[in-house]
Amino acid sequence: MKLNSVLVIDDSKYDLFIATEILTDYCDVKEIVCVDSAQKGLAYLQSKENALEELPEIIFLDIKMPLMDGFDFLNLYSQLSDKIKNRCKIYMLSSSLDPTDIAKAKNNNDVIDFIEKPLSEKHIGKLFN
Amino acid sequence: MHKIKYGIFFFIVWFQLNIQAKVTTQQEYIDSLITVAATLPNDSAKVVLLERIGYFYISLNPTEGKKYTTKALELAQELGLKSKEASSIALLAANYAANSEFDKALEYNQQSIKIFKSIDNPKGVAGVKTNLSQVYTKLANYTKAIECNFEALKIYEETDEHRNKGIVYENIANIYYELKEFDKSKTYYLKALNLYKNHTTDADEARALGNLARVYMEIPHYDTAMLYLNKAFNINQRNGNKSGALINLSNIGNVHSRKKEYVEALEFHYKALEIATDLGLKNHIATGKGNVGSIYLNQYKKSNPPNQNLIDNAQKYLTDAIALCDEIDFKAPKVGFLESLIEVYVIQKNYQKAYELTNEKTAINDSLYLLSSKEQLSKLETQREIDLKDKDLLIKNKELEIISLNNQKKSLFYTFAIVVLIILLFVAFTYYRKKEKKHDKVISEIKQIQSHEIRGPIATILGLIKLLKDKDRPDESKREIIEGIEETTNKLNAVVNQIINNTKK
Repeated sequence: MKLNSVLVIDDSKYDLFIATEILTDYCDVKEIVCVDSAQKGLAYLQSKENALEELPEIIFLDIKMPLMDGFDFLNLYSQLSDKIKNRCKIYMLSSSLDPTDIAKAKNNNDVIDFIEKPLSEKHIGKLFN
Repeated sequence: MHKIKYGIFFFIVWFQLNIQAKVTTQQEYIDSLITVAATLPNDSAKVVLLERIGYFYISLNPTEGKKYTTKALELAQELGLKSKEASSIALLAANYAANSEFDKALEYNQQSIKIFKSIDNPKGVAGVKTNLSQVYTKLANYTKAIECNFEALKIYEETDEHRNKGIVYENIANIYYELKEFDKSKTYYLKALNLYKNHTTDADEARALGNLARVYMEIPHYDTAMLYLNKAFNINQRNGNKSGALINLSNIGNVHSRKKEYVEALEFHYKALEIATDLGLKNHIATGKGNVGSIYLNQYKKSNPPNQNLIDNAQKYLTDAIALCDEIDFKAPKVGFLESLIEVYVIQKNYQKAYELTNEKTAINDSLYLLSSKEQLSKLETQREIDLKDKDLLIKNKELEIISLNNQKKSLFYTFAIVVLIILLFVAFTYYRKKEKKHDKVISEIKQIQSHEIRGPIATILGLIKLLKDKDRPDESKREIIEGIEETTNKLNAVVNQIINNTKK
C-alpha cells in the first residue's frame, strides 16, 4: 500500500512513535508527519494549501490533547477549503472508551472512522478497504 | 342581699380652677357666678365664667351644666377663641358623661381633642384624654381607658401637674377596681391620695377616699371602708358636693347591707335616694330604689312572722328601679334587681310573673355572661352600664392575650424544634450531598481519567509491547521502546496514585 503522506496529531510522544513504527512497518508511506498539537496540525495543513499534492492522504487525530482537543481541531478543519478537505481522510485515534466520544467521532462528516489505540497492523489493513 | 356595688366617678376637667366652694355650698357659689355672668359683656371673661358654672354643675346638675357650657361654647366660637372653644366642648362632654349620655360624651371629647391638637396644646389634650378614659371605663372598654390614661400621664410627667397626675392615677385605680385587681387598685388610689394631700383641695381627697373605700369593701375590710367613707362624706358635706355625698351614703348603706345590718342600710340608702331624686340623677335613683327594694326583701325573709308590708315595698321599689333601668339602658344592675324581683314574685306565689322575668333575666344574663365568663367579671357584680361590644372586645383581648401568651410559649418551643430539625436535616442533607457529590466526582473522575489518563498510557504500553513482540528491531529502537514503556508505566503509576489520593479526600 502506497501513500504519499500521513499526518499524525498526538500529544503523546510514544503514541507518535508507535504510529510511525506501525506505518513504516506495514505501509509504504513516503512521508510521515508527526505534530504534538492540534494547532500545529492545522497550521501544517494550511501551509500546504497551495501544494495540494503534498497534503496528507490520511490524518490520524488523537482526541485528548491539551488546549485544543481533537473535536476542536475538527471544528476548525471544517472551515478549511474543500481543496484540502477533499484530499484528506481523517481517522480519530484514541484510547478513549467513552461511548459519547466514539459516537461524536463517528457522526462527524469529516471523520472516516474511529480507531482504538494502540494503532496496530489490523487497523492498517482496514484503512484501505 | 345581692352584690351590688356602687361606682364612683367624677368628671374632672383639665384646667385648674380656683375653687372657692369651701366657704359656701356649691349651689350658692354657682348662683353667685350666674349673677355676675349676667352683668358681664360678651367677652372672654364671660366665657371663663360660663365654663366655671358648667364645671360646677357637672357633679350637681349636669342638665344645667350642659346649658351653661353650650352658652360658653357659642360665645367662644363667636369670639374666635379656639382654646376656649375646645375647653367648652370638653366641659360639655363631661356634663353629658355625668348624665350617662356616653355616646355624646365620646363624640364631644374627641372633638375637643381635635381642636386642642390643632392649636398645639398638649395639656389640653392630656386633660380631655383623662376625661375620655373615664367615659371608656364607664363603658367597660378598659383597654381604651388605660391607653388614654397613659397618654395623659406621659404629658403630665413632663410638667409639674401634680393634681392632674393624681387624677390619672385615680383613673388607673378605677380600672383595676373594675378588673378586680384590688391590690393594684389600692396602690394607685394611695398614690393619688398622696399627691392630693399636698397639691389640691380636699374635694379630690374625698373622692379618692370614697373610691378607696370601695376597694376595702371588696377585700373585704368593712371597718376600714366605713372609716374612709365617713371621712369622704364629711368633706363632701362641708363642700356642699351633693352627688359626692350621695355616693358616700349609698356606699355606707352597702357596707351595712353586707354586714346584714338592714335597718341601718335602709336608712342610708333612703338618704342617698332622696339626694338623687333632688338632683334628678336617674342612674342614682335607679340604683337607690333597687338597693332599697332588695333590702326590704332581705328584711322580709328574716321577719318572723312574715311581714306582708315588707314584701310589698320590695316589689314596689324593685319594679320602679327596673323601669328606670330600662329607660336609661342600665343593663348590669337590672339583672341584680330582676333577680330580687323574681324572688319577690315567687314569695307572692305569682309564678306567671316570676317565669316571665326569669326569661328576661336569662336573656340579659346570657348576653352579659357570654362576655365575661373567662375573666370572671361577673356582670351581676358590676352594676355598671355596659357597652356590649366594647366589653366583648375587652374580654376577647384578655382571652387573646392569655391564649397568645400560651401560644407564644408553645410556638416558641415548636419554632425551636423546627429550627433544630431544619438544621439537622440541612446538615444531614449537605453531608449526604457532599458525600454523593464526592462519590459522583470520584466516579466521573475515574471515568475521565480512565478513558484518557489510564487508558492512554495502557494503550501506549500495549502498543509499545506489540512493537517489541512483532518484529526484531535494532537495539537503539528497542531501547527507545523500553524507555517508553518505563516512562509511560511511571506516568500510569502517578495517575493511579492521584486517583487513590483523590478518593481519600
